[in-house]
Amino acid sequence: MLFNSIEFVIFFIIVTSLYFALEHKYRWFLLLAASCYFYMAFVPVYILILGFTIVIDYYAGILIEQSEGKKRKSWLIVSLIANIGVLAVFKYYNFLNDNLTFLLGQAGKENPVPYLSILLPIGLSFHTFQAMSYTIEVYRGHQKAERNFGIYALYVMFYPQLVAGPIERPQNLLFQFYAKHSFEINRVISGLKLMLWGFFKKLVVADRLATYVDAAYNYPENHSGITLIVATVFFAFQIYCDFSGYSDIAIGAARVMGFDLMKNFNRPYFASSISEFWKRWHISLSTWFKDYLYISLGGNRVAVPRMYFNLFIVFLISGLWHGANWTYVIWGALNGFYLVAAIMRDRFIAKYKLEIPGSKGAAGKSFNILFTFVLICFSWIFFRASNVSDAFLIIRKMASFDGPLYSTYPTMFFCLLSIIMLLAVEAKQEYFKGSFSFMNNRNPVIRYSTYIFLLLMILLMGVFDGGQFIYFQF
Amino acid sequence: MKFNSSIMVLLKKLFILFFLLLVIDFAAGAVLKYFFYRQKSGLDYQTIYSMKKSREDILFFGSSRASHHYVPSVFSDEFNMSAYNTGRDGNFILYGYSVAKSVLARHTPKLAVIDISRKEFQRKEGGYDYLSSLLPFYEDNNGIRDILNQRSRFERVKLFSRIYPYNSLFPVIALNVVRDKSKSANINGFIPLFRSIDRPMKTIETEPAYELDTFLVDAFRQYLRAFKEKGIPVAVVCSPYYDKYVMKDATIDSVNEICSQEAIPFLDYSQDPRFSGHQSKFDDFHHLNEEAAREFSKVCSDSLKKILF
Repeated sequence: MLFNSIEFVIFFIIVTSLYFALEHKYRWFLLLAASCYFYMAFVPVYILILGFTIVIDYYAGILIEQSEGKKRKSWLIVSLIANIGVLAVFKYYNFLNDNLTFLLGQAGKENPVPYLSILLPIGLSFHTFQAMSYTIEVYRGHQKAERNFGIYALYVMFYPQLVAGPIERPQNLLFQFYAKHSFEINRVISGLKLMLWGFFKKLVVADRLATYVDAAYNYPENHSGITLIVATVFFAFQIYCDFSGYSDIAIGAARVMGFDLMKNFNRPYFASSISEFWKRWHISLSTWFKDYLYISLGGNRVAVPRMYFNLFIVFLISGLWHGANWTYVIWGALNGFYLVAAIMRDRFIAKYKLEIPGSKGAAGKSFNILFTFVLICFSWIFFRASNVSDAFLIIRKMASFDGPLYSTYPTMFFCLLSIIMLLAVEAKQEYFKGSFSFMNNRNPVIRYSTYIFLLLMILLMGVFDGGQFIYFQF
Repeated sequence: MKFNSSIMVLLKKLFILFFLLLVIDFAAGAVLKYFFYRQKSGLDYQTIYSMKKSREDILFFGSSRASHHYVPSVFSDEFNMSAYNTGRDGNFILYGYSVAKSVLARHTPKLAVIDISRKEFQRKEGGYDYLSSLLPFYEDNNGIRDILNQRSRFERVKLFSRIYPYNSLFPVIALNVVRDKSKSANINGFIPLFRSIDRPMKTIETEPAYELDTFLVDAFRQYLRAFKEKGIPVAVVCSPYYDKYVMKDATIDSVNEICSQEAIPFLDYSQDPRFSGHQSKFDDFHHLNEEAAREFSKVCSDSLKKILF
């Protein structure tokens, strides 16, 4: 069930109404049943995979808590192997096999290992990471093992964030299933507003831009350098609005029922450096990697070269998390390289107390924002291209900077209008906090006009057919 | 008590919001509808003309391959009859059938030519999305509602909105209302292409098997019968492809079978050596260029004249 579907709207209304109509003690069961239904709307049998990891992690959590010393670590390893094993089989098996076929082919041999004909379960990487954060936190003693199997299952399966995050931590979510949420009108309205904005980002901006991006990136050989540059910039906004739109709908839907999910995006394209970008982009994943991988590798407490190496490795794995393809690995490596280079530059400037002319003030900040955006756009080429050779073809064509712009008047009109509307809202939120607000204005005429404007834009400009949330594939 | 009053406040707010939305949606929908039918050029103008105004003797139905391959003037010269091409880019069998249903409700052409493409009956997700081009006609045209309802389970619900049928259309409508018809590339529905393809012909040995969409197969049979019941000569044509296909296509096999059951001629030019593989004759691997379209129209009209008249 996609968030951008009438089915979801009906599902949401029914589940939310029942949630508030039921007594508190039955609510977790309703949410669990609804989450199972939501997940099974994709490929029903895949709930068994989810069930398998839930059972393992539930018992692993209890056994970790009850054990001491090496045994404690062993149960954590069992949990990690189960989760990573499921990821490896369903997400990476055929990718690894492809590479094996290639390597054996170079040696003139055939690959005897068979391929698996399987679909990637929806949101596998998200709920696997959320499950792993639970057992790691229990192991670290930051979280008590959950004794109620249903509540633990709900922690992994909570439908708003089940298939595309935010990737929650047990300390933030588990206790909320025990808390009694009363119907608070301001909270409900705030959640609905966030959902409306999420739908706008997804349907009006992301899916609209996707029509242009897909046309260019699916057949890069047929398009000019100029077209591919425009498509890359559009993709930057497409993926942002696709993913953050989904997060907004998820956070809003949870908020309506009284749950607080973590913020996942914070206007990332207003970041003035790569490190700031990664503090604003997919925050729940970035912090997951920081807390569970980067710190485990030694974090900042190791020698500087080792720290650079750790950062690079984290980004490399983050790339692989996004997809089983070398394009994602290169994307991760590129971002790791950007970050390491930026830290080296900052250290160099600090060490020699250098002043870079024009780096301060509005102009300097604007330049930094633009420069960061260009670097990020360059990395998106690898993220979006179908394969590595397509990515390099696109870069070569972009470098030539020639050819006609592939454009039809309505497509370009809608694409540019949607980006302008998005940037206007985000620039206002970024630079004029606390000033005039449309959605939260005290004047009901302005408030209602804004809601109706967004709904009309969705009806007039939204893409209703064939849209899939890009992040579902991860 | 507090819970109930909060719920009532929320319901009241939602009621006000949706009432206002309904009013504005209704008004904006009426404005869009008014201008939609006042377009002077463009693809929607062509669809409006095809469905509501066409009175030509020969009508061509199909997708972009119809729109770019059948030159009405060539057929007019051959048959000494007027001709119009109702084909539309990116629109397939259900579009053609819908247009045909609308035409036949008010006009009896003397000849109908249906262009069919490989894989046209393939079942695919979102396979009916293209029918959005017909949504503006949903309200006034009972005959096509059943077809349009196939777009999604909740199409009827979506169509409560008066502006939803005009989704993504307002800049196009605005342009085509003011743009002069003479500026359009469209010549009686035929849209010429002018490039030559720059890659050699491929021989496609194998293609993945696909499932036929039974709704499309049934619709195709009904499509043919709609003409037959009115005594209108109809022919089905698969126009040329650039590449060589070694494998037989399930759609073409199905078309062949239905045409022979219904005693309707089926002309398959998909691998005609006079066209296929000639770089100078194709704009891209699915579409003939203007010069080749004229040549093909002559070939096709000669054959149809021999078979049907």
